[in-house]
Amino acid sequence: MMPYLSYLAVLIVAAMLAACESKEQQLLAEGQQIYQKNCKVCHAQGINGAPILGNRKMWSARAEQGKETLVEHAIDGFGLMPAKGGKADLAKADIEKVVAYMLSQLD
Amino acid sequence: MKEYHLKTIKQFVVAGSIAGSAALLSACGGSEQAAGIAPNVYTDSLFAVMKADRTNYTKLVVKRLGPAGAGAVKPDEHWEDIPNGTLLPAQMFRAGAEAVAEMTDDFTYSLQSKWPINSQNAPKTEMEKQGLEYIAANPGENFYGEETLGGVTYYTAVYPDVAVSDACTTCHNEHKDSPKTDFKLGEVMGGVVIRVPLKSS
Repeated sequence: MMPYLSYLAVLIVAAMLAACESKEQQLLAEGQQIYQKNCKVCHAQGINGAPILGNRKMWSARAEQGKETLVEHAIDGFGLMPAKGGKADLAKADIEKVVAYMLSQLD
Repeated sequence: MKEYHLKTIKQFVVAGSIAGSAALLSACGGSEQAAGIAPNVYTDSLFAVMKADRTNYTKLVVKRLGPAGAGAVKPDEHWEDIPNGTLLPAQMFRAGAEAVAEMTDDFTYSLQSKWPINSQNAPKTEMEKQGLEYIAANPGENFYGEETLGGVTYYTAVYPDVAVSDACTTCHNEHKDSPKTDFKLGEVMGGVVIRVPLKSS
């Protein structure tokens, strides 16, 4: 009986881990969509000093500040970047997703 | 004194732009010996210098010394008519293009738009039109192609020019000569066209 319970426990944990990973992937996919629609226009090119997606040289010092700070900067505007990149209708949750996506491109 | 200061700033920024471009040209050996570098890498590199100079002028001069900073200068379309007027970033960009055009035919660049305030800045060749259409329909993407003009084949690259501040949208939307009056922040307003001669056909 005990071995079956152990197998069951392992299966449950594996399923939970897979669900977490799937949820994270889902959030990153949503972040990617938000990026392509709203942020790519500047962040693909480095327009006005915007850090280019996936460019470690431009992102390293920024990434060190942590996701929370980057989200705050994106919402309030920072340097030459206007608040929310000028897309006032983006919610904080959208910004969080897109920052997570952009940081994930450094992995 | 103020006029001297502004002139010095302008000369400094234009000189920096030219020096950067010249350094790139020098490093690549000029167009005749550029066989070792892909045309898109060459134009991308030129655009990187242009972008950096434009961003730095915006950040280090306009924002720092303009109304949002020390208030020492007034960025204005008609900057020449104002004692402490200074060029808008797009005008400074054009000044760089004009300075390069006086210096070399190895490459040219210009700021163009499908909706230009000045009709001289509208696309003229089919490839320019195609490129501007493409970058407007595909925000964040570049356009590359080859075209033959006057018997010479050119590599033509078009990069997006984006409305990055309220100053961009307000000026264009309210300008009496603007054919488009609903620009929004983050929208592609036009493009930087870089043209490099490849060979005579």
